[in-house]
Amino acid sequence: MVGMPWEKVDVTWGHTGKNLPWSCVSGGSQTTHAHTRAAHAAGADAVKKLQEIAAHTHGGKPEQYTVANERVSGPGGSMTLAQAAQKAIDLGGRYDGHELPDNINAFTKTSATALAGQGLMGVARDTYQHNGVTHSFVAGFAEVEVDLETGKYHIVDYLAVADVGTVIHPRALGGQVLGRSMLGISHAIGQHWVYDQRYGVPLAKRFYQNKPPTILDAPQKMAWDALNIADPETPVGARGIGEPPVAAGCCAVLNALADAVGDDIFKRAPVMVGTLLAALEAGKAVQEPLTAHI
Amino acid sequence: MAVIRDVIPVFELYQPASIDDALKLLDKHGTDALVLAGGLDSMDWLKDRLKKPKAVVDLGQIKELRGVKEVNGGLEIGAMTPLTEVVKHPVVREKFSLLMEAAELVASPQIRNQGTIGGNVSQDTRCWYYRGGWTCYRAGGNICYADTPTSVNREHAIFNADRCVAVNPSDTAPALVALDASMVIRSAKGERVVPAEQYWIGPGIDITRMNVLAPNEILTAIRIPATMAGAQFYFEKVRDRQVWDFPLVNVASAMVVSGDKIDKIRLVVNAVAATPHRLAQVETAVIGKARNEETADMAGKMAVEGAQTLRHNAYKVPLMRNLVKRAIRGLQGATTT
Repeated sequence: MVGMPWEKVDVTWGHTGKNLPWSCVSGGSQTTHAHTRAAHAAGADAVKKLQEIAAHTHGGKPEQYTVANERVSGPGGSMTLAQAAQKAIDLGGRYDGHELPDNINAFTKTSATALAGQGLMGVARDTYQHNGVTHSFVAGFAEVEVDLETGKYHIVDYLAVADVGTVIHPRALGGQVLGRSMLGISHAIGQHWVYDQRYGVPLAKRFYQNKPPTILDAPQKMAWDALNIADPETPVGARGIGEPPVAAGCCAVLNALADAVGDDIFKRAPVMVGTLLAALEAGKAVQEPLTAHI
Repeated sequence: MAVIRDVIPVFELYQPASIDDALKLLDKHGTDALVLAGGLDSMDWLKDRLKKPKAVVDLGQIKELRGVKEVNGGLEIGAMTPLTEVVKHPVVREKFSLLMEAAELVASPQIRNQGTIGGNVSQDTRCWYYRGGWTCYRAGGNICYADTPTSVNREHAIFNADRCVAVNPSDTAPALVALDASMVIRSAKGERVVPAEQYWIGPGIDITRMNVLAPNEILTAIRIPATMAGAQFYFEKVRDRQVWDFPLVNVASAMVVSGDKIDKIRLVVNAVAATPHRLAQVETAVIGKARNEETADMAGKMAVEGAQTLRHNAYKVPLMRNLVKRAIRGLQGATTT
């Protein structure tokens, strides 16, 4: 929004000693959605203030000025962002953070107060509309190969396609889509907690017992894609990712298995060697209901 | 009070540089000592504070326990030789590839670098009740928690259970029995050599031990004779994860074929009983027969006769039957969907 090349952006990670404001909570697979809206609101406030400072300096109306190429330019003239920042400090008040909006979070107010007077400050609360829910969706596709003599199977191919609104960061999104698919796949293929049913004591305490997947359990081929259709309920168009691929990964593998060996062979996850082999041997599902998570 | 775990109890650590010094320490400390090889088994016990030895005798400094030597067309493998070295040894690869395959399927590359062949064959069972500190028969109590109507026992025994239903988890053990190996054991009194098949003991003989090693003894080496050098080998391990996992069932066979007839065979399955389970009757039955689907089918069926299943481990019967079948037939013709 401010037209600053990425190479010139100084990213400062969370640091209370630097009086950085709190981010929104990272959870509920809403982080990208919530955070980009908040960032958009703060950016819009910064642009508005830059336009006002330029108009104040060079004459004309704020809306006649545009922010681009690291400058604020309009009918009366042009100034660099650095010059505008210096002007913001000179003007003080709401331009450099000495006066703050009433509706911002208390933590944001504390941070902004401590940072006031150092330059032009964009600071605002996200008041954009938010109708309905902003969940993302993922479709998973899996191909499995089952060894009918041992019950062993492996995932030959896996594809996940995500509908997450506008794609903000393709590599990070891809990591989320495939990483969380892998979590779901692990629920399908073997990761489990096991408790003794009489004593209620956990038995699968070590990794070799509760069996998180290894890299060799991952599908031989994995790919992802995203629709990149902007969400109308946010000015950025982005929704979150995180949990949605879990169910896609798990269910795609279970469905592929059912397609390979039959619908009635298993009734629940995880589907392990014994599940398939015992059922194939008996010609029907022999898995006990979910009383023991094994 | 909360149970503190993952902090190992206090012990005296000894790092002898010779077998003689190690044996003197074992004689001195008796049952208060724990022998440490690669540590993959021992450290779990210590971190869970389930074993609290007064002395730990680390064999890692004893050079004479490490390395692979060629002896009379066979091999002598020092007990402290890391599994990775066993896998990489050219003679193991050339003549005894059964052991190479078995050792390479143990756990993960990191564990094979640290874990030793002596430790792999001598490791304790992985029954999660026993390893969880439950006071079962094997731990000196008077119940098997893994063998009740509500027990979770999918990894447990289908053969030769005697009060305890735990299984031997080693991958190299069945390969060594198939190769007709023998185990060199030393104590301060001298050396004894035990055929691999007699190294492991079931709960009927001693329910608290997995092998014949007495507290004052050390497994120093494993000898593999030339008998099965260059035979036709088959090893397969079925596990839940494709790396870093114990076998649900594994099978090892060494076979000599003349023409199309099986001339000689040693066939062993593990993780189905407290000891590697040699299938002597199946061996006798297939000798003189053609190595084909029919013989394989017969062998598989015969192998599982007498299996007794628990609540969750019935699948081990078809799994073992099919693995034995493959060991005779080979992997070709496997049915997949």
